[in-house]
Amino acid sequence: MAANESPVAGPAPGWGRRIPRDERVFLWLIAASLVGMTAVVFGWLAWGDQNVPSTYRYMTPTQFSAEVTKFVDRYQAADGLVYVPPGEDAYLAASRYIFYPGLALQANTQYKIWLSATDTLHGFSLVGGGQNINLELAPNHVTGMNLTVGDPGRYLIVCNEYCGLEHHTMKAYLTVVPAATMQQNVAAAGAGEEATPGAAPAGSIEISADPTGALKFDTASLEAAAGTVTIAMKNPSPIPHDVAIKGNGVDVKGKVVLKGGTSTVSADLDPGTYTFYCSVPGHEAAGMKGTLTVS
Amino acid sequence: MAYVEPAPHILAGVREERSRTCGVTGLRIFATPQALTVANAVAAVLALAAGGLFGLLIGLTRAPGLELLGSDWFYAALTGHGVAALILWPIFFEVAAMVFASSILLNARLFSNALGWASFALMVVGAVMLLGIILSGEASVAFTAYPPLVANQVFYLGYLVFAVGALLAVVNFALTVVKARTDGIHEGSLPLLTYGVGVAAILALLSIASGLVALIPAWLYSLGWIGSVEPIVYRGWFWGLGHTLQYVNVVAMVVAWYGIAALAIGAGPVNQKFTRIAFVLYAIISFPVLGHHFLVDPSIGNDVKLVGGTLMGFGLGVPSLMHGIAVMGGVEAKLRREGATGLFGWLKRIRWGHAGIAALTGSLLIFAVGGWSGTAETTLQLNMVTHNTMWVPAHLHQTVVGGMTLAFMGFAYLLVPLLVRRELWSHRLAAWQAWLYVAGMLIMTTAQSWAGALGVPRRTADTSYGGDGLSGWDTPMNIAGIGVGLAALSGALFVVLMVLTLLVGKRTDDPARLSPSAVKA
Repeated sequence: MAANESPVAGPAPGWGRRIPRDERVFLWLIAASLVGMTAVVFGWLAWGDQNVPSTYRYMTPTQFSAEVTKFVDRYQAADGLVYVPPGEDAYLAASRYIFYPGLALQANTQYKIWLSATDTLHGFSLVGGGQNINLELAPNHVTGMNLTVGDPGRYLIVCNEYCGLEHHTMKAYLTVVPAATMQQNVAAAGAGEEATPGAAPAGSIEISADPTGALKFDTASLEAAAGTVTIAMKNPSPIPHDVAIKGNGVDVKGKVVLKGGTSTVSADLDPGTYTFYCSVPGHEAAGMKGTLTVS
Repeated sequence: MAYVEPAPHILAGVREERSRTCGVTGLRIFATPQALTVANAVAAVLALAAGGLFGLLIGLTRAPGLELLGSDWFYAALTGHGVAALILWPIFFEVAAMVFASSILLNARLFSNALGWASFALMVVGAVMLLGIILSGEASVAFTAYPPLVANQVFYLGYLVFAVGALLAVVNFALTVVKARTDGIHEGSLPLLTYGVGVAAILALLSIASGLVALIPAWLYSLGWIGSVEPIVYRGWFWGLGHTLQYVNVVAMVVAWYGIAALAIGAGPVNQKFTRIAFVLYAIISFPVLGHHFLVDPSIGNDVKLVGGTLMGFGLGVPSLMHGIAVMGGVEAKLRREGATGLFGWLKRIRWGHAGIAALTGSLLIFAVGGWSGTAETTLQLNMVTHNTMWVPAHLHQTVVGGMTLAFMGFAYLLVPLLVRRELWSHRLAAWQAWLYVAGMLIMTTAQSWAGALGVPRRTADTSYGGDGLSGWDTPMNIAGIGVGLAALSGALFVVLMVLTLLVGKRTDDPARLSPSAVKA
């Protein structure tokens, strides 16, 4: 080490001479640690257990929603979960404020899961069961993640990228089931399905979700005559929605549908005031609701 | 030294500007740069007060034992915290440093006093626009404002006005240095502090330019004039602003380290070439390193992520390690010359009760922890574990708060009394403040790292996820809340001390009472 110099005045002449030995030794130590860390990173890419996914596809939210809808229609069971048999790819769409659909995977099996966001940036954070896997999801970009699931159980997934005022409500579970449960549900898949959504039943009240992705319906008030009331909601938005009715002891929900689908809900209603709303987390709080007056 | 006739200057010449000679440093200080430095420092302290208050609110909301704010206010406070504490406070302080390092350290006038005040005015207007719209609840998009999230257009305009103001300050800094040299007021190599601030100014230029590219389309999108903004592209340009700005902060922090060591101990760098190479490394590596924000993003190949994120991130540790050893080595060398013996004898001679030294020590320590946590998360594979978890705020509070903010506080304790010629209101309280800050930040960031390793996400209004959160999450987040409380208490103490010094500190010109190395603590 050399003598001190003031950092406030200019340096003494000759300051550009060779760096002294102490500092040079320090630089060599830094260089050695850089080489070591780099070797670990590259080595882990070649031989490590867990690496960042490197399979990506470009799909618009509309294209991705169509894929997800096909996948759900094929494997969704009566309990609403989508049971994915080993060897099949799984799909998971992140939208305000829902991961869709609910996935059930077979224990100790490797899956490819295609993940994307359909409206704004979201995060995929699998935190349950001692896991901690975090990915960024963006509209138009689809990530193909190879995931080997562990033992049966329910594993928490949360959104880790701020996506709007109800961000903290965006959570889901990855359900891992034994092989026997998987087989039963795959065999029964489609059996408990209601008719393919798309056409509204005759006599129903037709409404629509906001096509731009704002969290609202195209109307905030509906009127109906007492008796069986059916609301059919078309979903032209990039976000999954359903339509539901509550109030005066009534609480019924339609099926959650992606872009292009129609969610339908029916109830026998006495005269009075009810609320129709979207039951996807955070949507009602964000204003996706209205008043249904039955007379 | 040859006498050089001063070049005539368009703005000077008409009227001689008042100046004085500092009794402690012997520097010639002109009236406007002195006033401008103090004005920017005061704005910085006010921004820090706002940012700290927001920080206290969100820290206590994240603690599951308190959950202070509702979600709407939480996200507004989160946005306000990022803007005030990560944008306004450091940039105001760095503009103060730019005025100080270009004019006062070189015994020179500013290139243009009018430009200096115009820049200050624009920055104040931008800051008021930003904080106003955030408090109205119409800009709860977090300070990153990733489209397609949309804030009220005033938010983007506030950013733009503030950025233009800061840009003018950078221009004035560069022209002041050039003019001091062409006028012959300063000759030879620049002082290390000015050199360092020069590197910070270059990075600020890159940062602001990148920010304009990100924010102008976002502003047009908020007006509905353009249909969409590709979020990944926006993220790229935004982090060109965001992360490069952090290296403006880091460079300014390192300048504060050297400044504190010089003022409080009389220690300088042991080797000028070594330290200047380290500054140049910052200038080269800081911009491309933004790649580490994309380590788990879709549609970017692992090759790009490895080079632009991981390897650049590792490389960026090099200059920080060099400065760390240079500052500490400088202190050791100085104390050995004063008679310290043995391997650790110099440590016994350090006046740990001195506010500047407390801040310098804490800043070096916590920044080193932050460098380690940053190196971990910039590693491609580990980023999958840490991305957007509490590990990230832990890292950025270790670097920007425990490192930078603490260093700025220490530098302000030493510098502000010299500039306003008033005694620091209480040296003892200032030292306590700095140590309390160190304790608060260490508790908070350690608990946050712990939470991040367990997967607790950052930026969420409800850590317990309505009861669905993991049971292990509560303890570290509650401990982090305690650290937040201590740090906020200490931050408030800093603001109070600064205000009292400015308003009622004893007026004096006595070097023995003003000199930071002479004061008894």
